[in-house]
Amino acid sequence: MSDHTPTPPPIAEVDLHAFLDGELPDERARVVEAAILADPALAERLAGYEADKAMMRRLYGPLIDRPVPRHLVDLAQSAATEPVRPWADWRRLGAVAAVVLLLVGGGGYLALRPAADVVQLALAAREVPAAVPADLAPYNAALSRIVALNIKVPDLARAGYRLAGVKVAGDAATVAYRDADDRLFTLYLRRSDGTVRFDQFKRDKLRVCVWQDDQLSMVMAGEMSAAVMQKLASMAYLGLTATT
Amino acid sequence: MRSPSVLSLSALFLPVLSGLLVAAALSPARAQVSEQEAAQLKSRLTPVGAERAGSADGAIPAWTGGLSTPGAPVNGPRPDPFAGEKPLFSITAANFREHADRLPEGAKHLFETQPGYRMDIYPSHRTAAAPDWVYDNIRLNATRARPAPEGIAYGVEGAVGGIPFPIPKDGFQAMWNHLLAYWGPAREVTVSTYVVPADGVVEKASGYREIADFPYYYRDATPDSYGGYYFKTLHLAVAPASRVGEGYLNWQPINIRRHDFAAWRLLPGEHRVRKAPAISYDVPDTDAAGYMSEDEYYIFFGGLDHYDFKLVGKAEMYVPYNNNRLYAQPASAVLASGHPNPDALRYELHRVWMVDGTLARGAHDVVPHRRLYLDEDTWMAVYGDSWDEQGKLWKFGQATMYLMPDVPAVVIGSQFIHDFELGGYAYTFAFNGETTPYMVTPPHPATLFSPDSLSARSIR
Repeated sequence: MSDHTPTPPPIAEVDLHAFLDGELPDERARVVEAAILADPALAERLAGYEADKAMMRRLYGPLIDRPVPRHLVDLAQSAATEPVRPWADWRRLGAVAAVVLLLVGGGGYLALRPAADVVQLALAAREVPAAVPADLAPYNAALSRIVALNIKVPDLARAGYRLAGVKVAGDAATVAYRDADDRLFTLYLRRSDGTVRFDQFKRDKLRVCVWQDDQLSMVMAGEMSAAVMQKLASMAYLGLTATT
Repeated sequence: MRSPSVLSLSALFLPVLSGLLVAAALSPARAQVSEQEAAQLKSRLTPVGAERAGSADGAIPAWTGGLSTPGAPVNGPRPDPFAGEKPLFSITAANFREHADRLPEGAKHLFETQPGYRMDIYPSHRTAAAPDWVYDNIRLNATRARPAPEGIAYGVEGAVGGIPFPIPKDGFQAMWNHLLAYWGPAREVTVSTYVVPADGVVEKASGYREIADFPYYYRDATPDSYGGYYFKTLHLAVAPASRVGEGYLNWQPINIRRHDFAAWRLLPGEHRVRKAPAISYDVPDTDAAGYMSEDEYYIFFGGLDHYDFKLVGKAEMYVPYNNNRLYAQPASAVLASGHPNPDALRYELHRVWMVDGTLARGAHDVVPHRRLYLDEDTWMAVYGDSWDEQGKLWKFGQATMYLMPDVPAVVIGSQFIHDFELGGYAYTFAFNGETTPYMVTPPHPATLFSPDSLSARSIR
């Protein structure tokens, strides 16, 4: 008996871009996410688009808080009310395009900014995924996509922490480790909001370390001393970008 | 009964008057010391503000100008001028309590926990010196340097080319002297960081070629002309192999409210630079496998604003000094399990300023309490004790003062940062056996320290 479950349509470029923008319906987003996890080449392509987008955000992000120059607004308004003429002044059209780019780029930047405090998000996501993946390549690709950097799951074995699982959920990931006494250490990763931050503190029994640069945001948590957290944080930060 | 108008007038003017008085007292234009006090820098005090006289018992000699042999720049290991000397005595686990008032807490902890730890005490030599133009600047700074309007925790202004507060009135002024001490105008050096964990297995964690400038010490700099950053450094990784091609650029601001700590990192695979943690605060130093935080460079470095620094006073202490012999040896001869090889180090009795830093209100830091010990002749920190949030001694830093008569200067050389919680220590800024051990150079082009310059390296 043959299986008549309809095969989802192949992942098109437009799917990848919509996935990046968070505009795919949930069902389709799950299909795309699964395909990315299964196909390193696809994940790499997506990471490339993500990097382009991050570059745009870096270039135009700082402009979002600046008011649009009055003459450009006037120009855009007059352009909108004037009849379209094929021989229109190209300089004017260029200015209109700049306004549109600014608004669209700025809107995209706002949409990408994490809405909630990254520590809250990290602690809410603090759990151990079901199993240790046999092949980390798709997860490395997924992490790279999330932060738009070429990164990988850090190896903390030298500090006595073995990998316990990786969970990718939308625009964030949690990497879980356990030490010899089965104590949990989690590394939550997502795209940075662009601010640089380092902080280490205790929340109840948990020690939490936030380490964020202009590209990636890490929140690490575990029951440990400040000294051990400093060591693990250092290894995790370095391990993310290690080439070997 | 006074009329409402009189009440309202006094209500208006009293706060204004008191505000003016307070403002006058805190005015940034106010000189830190009087001309009369500053004149001591040519009599009772040395040009940098140390006591010119020796100690009462003669163990610390008088300062007679330091050791200066100006000439061609040295591009190689500097010889040990005291190579023929023998230790006066040794401090060990058996007798360290007899010397407890002349030892930092971290050293006492090493004596208590490391049976083989030993300090060989040699005759003291006050070798620290600086060029005359630095002394001239310090004399000027004494009456013109002042806290930034934002507060001394954030910055200093009105000073250049010498420590700003040779006659310090508080712990912050002493700490600024440490941050702005004289290293020469620029340097090139290849350094490594080794980690010796609790198991005693030595690992070379990182190595980089450093090019660094001290714009604050450019000969023609004025208090307003050096650009707001007193230190700029470029690191180009040379080890381990997996990190070759990495670059790091850092600028340290003189006023952290007006200029950000600026740091960029180049990762070869990314073909671009991105912002990175600055050499400041409690961010783990990835070059030292977690054994050091960025603010433990040079025993303490970066922003002062996490702490309230109090001047505890002066003390005579045994400190690592004139350690040129140390750098002539390979790192393998210097590093031992649990502590440095005692045979490699030289300690002398010197006077130090003790400065206590406790966490400032509202500040977060993994080290809520630290004590720095600043050499009176250079203002550089020779020791640092750090306590954790439970009040337990956590870390101990010791600098190994390096004598460079050709500059002339005595500077912090390699540093040992002990982590009593993890066990073991890091040996950082180590230039043992390197082909470019420590070269003081003329200033480099400013463009060398730009993110664009760092970025360009990714496509070479």
